[in-house]
Amino acid sequence: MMNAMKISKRNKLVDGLWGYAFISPWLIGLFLLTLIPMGQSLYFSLTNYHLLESPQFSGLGNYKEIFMNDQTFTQALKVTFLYVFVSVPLKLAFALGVAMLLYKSIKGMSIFRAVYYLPSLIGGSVAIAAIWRNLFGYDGLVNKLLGTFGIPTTDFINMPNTSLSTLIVLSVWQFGSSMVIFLAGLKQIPKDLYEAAAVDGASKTRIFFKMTLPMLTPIILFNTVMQTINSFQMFTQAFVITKGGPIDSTLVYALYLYQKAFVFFDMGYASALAWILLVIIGISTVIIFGTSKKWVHYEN
Amino acid sequence: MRGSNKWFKKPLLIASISALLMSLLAACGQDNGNGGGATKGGNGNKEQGAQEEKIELRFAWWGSQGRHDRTLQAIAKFEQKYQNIKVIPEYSSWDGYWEKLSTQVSAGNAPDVMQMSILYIKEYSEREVLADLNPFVGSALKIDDLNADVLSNQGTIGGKLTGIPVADNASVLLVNNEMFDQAKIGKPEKDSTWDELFAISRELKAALGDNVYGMFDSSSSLEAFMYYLFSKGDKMYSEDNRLGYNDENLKAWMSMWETARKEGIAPPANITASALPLSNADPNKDALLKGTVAMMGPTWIAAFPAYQSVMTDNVDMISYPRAEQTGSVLQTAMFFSASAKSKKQEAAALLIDFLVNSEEAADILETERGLPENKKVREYLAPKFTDRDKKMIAMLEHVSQSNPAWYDAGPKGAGEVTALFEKVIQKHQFGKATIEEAVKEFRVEADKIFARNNG
Repeated sequence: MMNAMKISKRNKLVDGLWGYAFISPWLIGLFLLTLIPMGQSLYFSLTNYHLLESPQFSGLGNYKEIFMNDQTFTQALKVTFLYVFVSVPLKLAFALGVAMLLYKSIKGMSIFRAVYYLPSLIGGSVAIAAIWRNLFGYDGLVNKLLGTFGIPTTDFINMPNTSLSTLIVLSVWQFGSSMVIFLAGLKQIPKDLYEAAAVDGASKTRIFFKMTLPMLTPIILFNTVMQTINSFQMFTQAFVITKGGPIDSTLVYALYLYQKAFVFFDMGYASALAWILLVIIGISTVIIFGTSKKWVHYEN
Repeated sequence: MRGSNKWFKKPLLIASISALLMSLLAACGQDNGNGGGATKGGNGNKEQGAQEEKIELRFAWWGSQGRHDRTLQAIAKFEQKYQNIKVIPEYSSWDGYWEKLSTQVSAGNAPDVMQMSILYIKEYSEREVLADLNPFVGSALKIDDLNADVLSNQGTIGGKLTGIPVADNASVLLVNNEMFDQAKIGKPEKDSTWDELFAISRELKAALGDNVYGMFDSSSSLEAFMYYLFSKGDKMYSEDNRLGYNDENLKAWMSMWETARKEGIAPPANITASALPLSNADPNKDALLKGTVAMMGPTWIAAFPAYQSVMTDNVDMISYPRAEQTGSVLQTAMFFSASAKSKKQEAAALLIDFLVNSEEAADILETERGLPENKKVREYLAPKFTDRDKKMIAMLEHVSQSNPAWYDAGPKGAGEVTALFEKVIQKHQFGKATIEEAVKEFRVEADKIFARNNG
């Protein structure tokens, strides 16, 4: 009896070890590539650390400087929030609209779906960013088109008032991944509900607002959270297309962080910026989840 | 008991195997990090059983493919001459170079020999990254044929010889000849004032129409403003590591450009913004080549070949505009430096000596890194010089003889201040700040940055 218990205990231990053995590559990755560097960056954020010298502890000096003295930080926050608040709702609305169109079953629909998903695959790339620069530049295609219709042209990318909007348009254009998720969500809605609504004589708009949309709210919540987190970290497009200019009008947070770290080599300061971004994203996510009780409907 | 022990061991075995696999993956990553050059060098020198202790020397540089090819060949020559030294090349383009180098330095893993820029040598020296090469002068490293002025003014920082100058350079304006030919007006004089260049720009505009501008608007470039200050006898930085110029000069600089923009002889703010920053200007897409502007700068003589290869005879150089004195400055196109942490500094000095002084290296490198700093090498190469080389030498000599100032890389934090200047002046260009506001804002914010970096 005792012996049997001992064996089963040992087996449990062994089983556990087996488990850890199999996930060990992931575990090593988690510790070496995520947790330890995160810990280090938290420490660096409390130091005066020029990349060419060794870090010197400075307490909350970086954070104080950021919050009390740094106008560029305020500007970067403004730009980033504007970007997130405008681009996320626009992108989701657009994605839902396209998903509604692609929901119908006609021949060759899968080809359409693939085509509309395409921009998401390539949209984050440097090549597309370079194309964008040429499309919306002062002698770009968009201006030429507007010009032929006699519409006054403007240098979208290089004017401080419009440059951010070109980045927002680029982000909206990459609606694919949200669209696919919406599409899956639409398919989850039971057909008989639509039939019942049709029998009751509900109009198309009424069906959309009173039925489709409420049924989709869990999906909308998911998409909102994912897109918000992503948008806060937007970097490539601003880096390639506008380099943050003109006059910092497209200096998104991640770009400012990059500049501090790798252009001005101020690692301590950049680490502090990174932790502030983490907290901002965390709070935003909590807020979205907090409000979700009021507008998300779960069937069960 | 035995059986369960085995069972106990297996998970450990798997764990260690996967750990091993991970480290292999990591090793692959490192190899790639060396830019592929390392493997090339390694294969060439595979030996069966090392007979004697080989010194491995890591050498990093930035440049284009042409420079990589030539430098690799020169390294092969060096390794023939010094059989006991093996050079591991690490090369990349300018863009990635500084990020990689600073990260390597921070990890205590700096290359033994590195190509260094005038923009960074002061910072790297003051932060004690670069070795003092004085102990090797006369033995491993000969400097007799290098310009003593350059060595003491730009290669020596805080009494330490941290950079061996490779090539000379001077700041100039580039001119699009074709546009002057089209407009049928004379090309600008080699030593013009701003007023003279603006006057020519007016003629040019009258002949060629509204979408063409005489001068590129360089008002938001701190470099351009610095040369303007030099031409006025003023200075950019003070002795105590702050801004050192007279505010009246910045006001004059800004209003000069404001007038030019209003007249339409300098492009509007958005066209200028699309070409910034000037230091990254790409001849393949910039305004000079497109024929949007006829004169553009400041740039370096060393940039001339890049434009010439695209524009052939249509491009020329003139001095940066003068006032009381010339606005063109002299600087060193690049240095070779050794790492202060390296234990192989003597071998590093030998490599630098070979690259800078030897005719074998000169045969291969020619003028790819600019006009060689070494007088003897320049004479040695003279028969091989092309018309383009001769043009560049003539321009360099012209600037050298007009009593120019030396380029000033500024105190620690100058890079951030350069970015700040661009932003503040842009506010004025776009009409979002008055001259007074911009002048004040720049001084306050720049001195804050300097205070943070220099205590």
